[in-house]
Amino acid sequence: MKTLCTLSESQSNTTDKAFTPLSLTLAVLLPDQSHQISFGMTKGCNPDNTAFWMIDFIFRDKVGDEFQDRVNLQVAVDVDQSPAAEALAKSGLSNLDITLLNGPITRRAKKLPAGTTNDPKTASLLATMVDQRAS
Amino acid sequence: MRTAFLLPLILGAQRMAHTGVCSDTLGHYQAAGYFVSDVKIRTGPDLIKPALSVVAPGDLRLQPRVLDAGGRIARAGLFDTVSLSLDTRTLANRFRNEYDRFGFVLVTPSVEGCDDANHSLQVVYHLLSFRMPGEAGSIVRSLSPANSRRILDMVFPRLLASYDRSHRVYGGINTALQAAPGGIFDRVRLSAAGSSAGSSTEMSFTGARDLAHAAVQHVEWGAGYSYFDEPSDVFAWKRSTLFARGGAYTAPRGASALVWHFGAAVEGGHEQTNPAAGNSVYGAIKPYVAIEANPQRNYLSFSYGLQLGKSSPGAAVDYTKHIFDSFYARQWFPGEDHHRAISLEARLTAGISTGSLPVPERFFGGNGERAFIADDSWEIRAGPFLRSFPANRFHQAGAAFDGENFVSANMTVAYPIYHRPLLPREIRGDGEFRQILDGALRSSTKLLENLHEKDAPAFVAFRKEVLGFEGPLQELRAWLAAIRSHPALPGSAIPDIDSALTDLDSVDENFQQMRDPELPDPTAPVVTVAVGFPGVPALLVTVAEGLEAIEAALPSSMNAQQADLRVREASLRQAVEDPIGGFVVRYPKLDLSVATREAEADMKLPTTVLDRFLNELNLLSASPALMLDTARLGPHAEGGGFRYGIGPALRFSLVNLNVTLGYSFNAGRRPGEKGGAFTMALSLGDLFR
Repeated sequence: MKTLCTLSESQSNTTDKAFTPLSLTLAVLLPDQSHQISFGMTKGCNPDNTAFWMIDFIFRDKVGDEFQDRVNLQVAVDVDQSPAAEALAKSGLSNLDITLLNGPITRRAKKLPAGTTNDPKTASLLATMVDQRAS
Repeated sequence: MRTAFLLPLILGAQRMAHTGVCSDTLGHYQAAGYFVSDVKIRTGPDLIKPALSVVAPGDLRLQPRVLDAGGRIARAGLFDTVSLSLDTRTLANRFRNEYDRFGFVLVTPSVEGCDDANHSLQVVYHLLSFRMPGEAGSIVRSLSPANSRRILDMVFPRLLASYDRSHRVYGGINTALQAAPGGIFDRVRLSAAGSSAGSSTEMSFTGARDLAHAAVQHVEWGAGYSYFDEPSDVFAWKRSTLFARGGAYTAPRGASALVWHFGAAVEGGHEQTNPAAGNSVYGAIKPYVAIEANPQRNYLSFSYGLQLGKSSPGAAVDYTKHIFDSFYARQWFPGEDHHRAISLEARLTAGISTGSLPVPERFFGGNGERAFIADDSWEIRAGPFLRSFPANRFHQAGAAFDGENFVSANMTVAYPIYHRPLLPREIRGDGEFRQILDGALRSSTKLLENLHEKDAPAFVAFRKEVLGFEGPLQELRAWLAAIRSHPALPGSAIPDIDSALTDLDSVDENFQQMRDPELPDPTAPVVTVAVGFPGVPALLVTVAEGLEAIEAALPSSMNAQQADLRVREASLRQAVEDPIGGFVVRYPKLDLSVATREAEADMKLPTTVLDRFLNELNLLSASPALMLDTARLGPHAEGGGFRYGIGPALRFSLVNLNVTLGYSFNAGRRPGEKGGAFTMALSLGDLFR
């Protein structure tokens, strides 16, 4: 059985498990009053009715009277297309994954010309992270 | 005693189910080339509209159809599932910046009005959200605030209306206005209520500051004027007072989030009672201290207040009152469904006095509460609470107003017979959603661990060791520059040298980052230089590989340089790859427990919040309740003794806003007394207790 993007389970015309797209955002001020964590979880629909997930994680610092983004992570996970991506989404990122994101990948991304939509090196680094879950 | 924990509710679209005749999958409408005839956002009350104002129409990828000059549908109006999903995310994410304390928004899209003839449909985004706004220009501490009244007043300018036998039907308004943010007094609080039996008016100027990273996390102050005309069955009590007060609380400590509260008020004015003739002096100094904690599923607090009172001219203290007020609450879950919880609230209050206590300062009560310090964010109950007696009508029978001390205990138990969970079934029942959310929480914890590694001594020492390579690599750079201009160097070796110099530039960049205290992830440059990633070698190894390539490109006449290169290359490789002491081997073994503990502490609150939202919170619930009260006034036992109240009630809850209606029977009714009293209570529950 696969997941199928529709409006609700009752409206699915097949025996496949239906799901509804949704997005949930939660933000909490940490007890130190100086940092805020924001989670965003989006379950979206591919054109073939399979699901993808987008995860937003934002860590914010209070600078003066304003909160400013300090870390802004956005991860897109095409669950039905890749078991490794699904495993990554469900297990979460490791310390080394995050270091890779904050280090070489971020540095590489910053050096790309504006408007770049495809960079094999960056894609390769990201794939490294996902591929580790394939085994 | 704190008023209650507040989560102001903004109720968005409650109808999360979808309607219409769009019965196919979303992908079908894209494949069939449907266009979007309209885009709507459905929300609830007006309170949510400010949040929506941050979403401009252009922010949404899906747009209603547009026709080009030839009357054909432009491509922008075509429906597609990915745009629908991304717009859903845009709406949810745009909302998050609208609060600084706690907020939650859920957006689900639907398509409606599918017209198979014209291949058109409407897109509707349903928005369900909660927000706990911070005060302008300041922040409030995490999830156990004692200042809920201040926030409540700002969010809900409240119209008051109620009935009890003493006050009869009464009504009024209670609100707060923001004025001059950042000033000494930045808010004005106004309240006025009245009936044919009595009235009350109060105006105060207040200010507050939150102190991040300080032991005392919040301080507040205020000054104002109050007047009340309080009815009872045997007297009317009027008081006109000028007051000043201040208070503070500490940062939460430990796993129980233990918080200390302390403060004081100074009050002065005059008061009048019937049948007493004329005015009498009223003066009081009221210091207090309190502690609250949230161990596990329990909430408890204990407060002590001292009143040094005056009722005659002069400087001497005429009387003293000591108030002890304790509160306990918890929830139990008898079944697997945590949306149905048995809730218990219990309170034990006592007071003693010394000296010449004027009539209105004696202890009396009923089903109305008296606060130790009016308008203070930390509430201490100052009199006996007995719901089987109307307000102000529980006094010493047979010896009117002889109450020089009291004790009262109250308990309310409720269990929902109807509930509607806050989150729609699509989320609660979706195991995949929960798995991925748990993954996101784990990712967040790991990210915070990385941030906190800068506080781990083992990491600091490791970073220092890596930085120790800075000098040798600077020397290597100079050495390579010299080689590059060596007369015997073949031209074919120059690209290898330039490549090695570029690698050294990368290393230098990472060394600079290692020294940046504001770097979001302090581990990134250290690991990049000295450890590497799966499939990505450490930069030190990359430099070594570059030296190896240069060595191979040098002619035999430069054998001295070749030997030097081999030594440098081996040194770098050994530092990274040595099976015993290499960076790659040692880094995973570093003691980073400090960082782990800090990250887990940071994540405790968001994890708890999320767990409550997913598994426990109800949008609506109705709960039968049982009210049990007992109270005693002293010192004279004759005609007094313990009195009891018992009765049923029904509690309606809208998330954490509780309205409890009931009747408490006067158990052991005495001649001249009523059989009981109706009671109505409005309270706010702590969502995350």
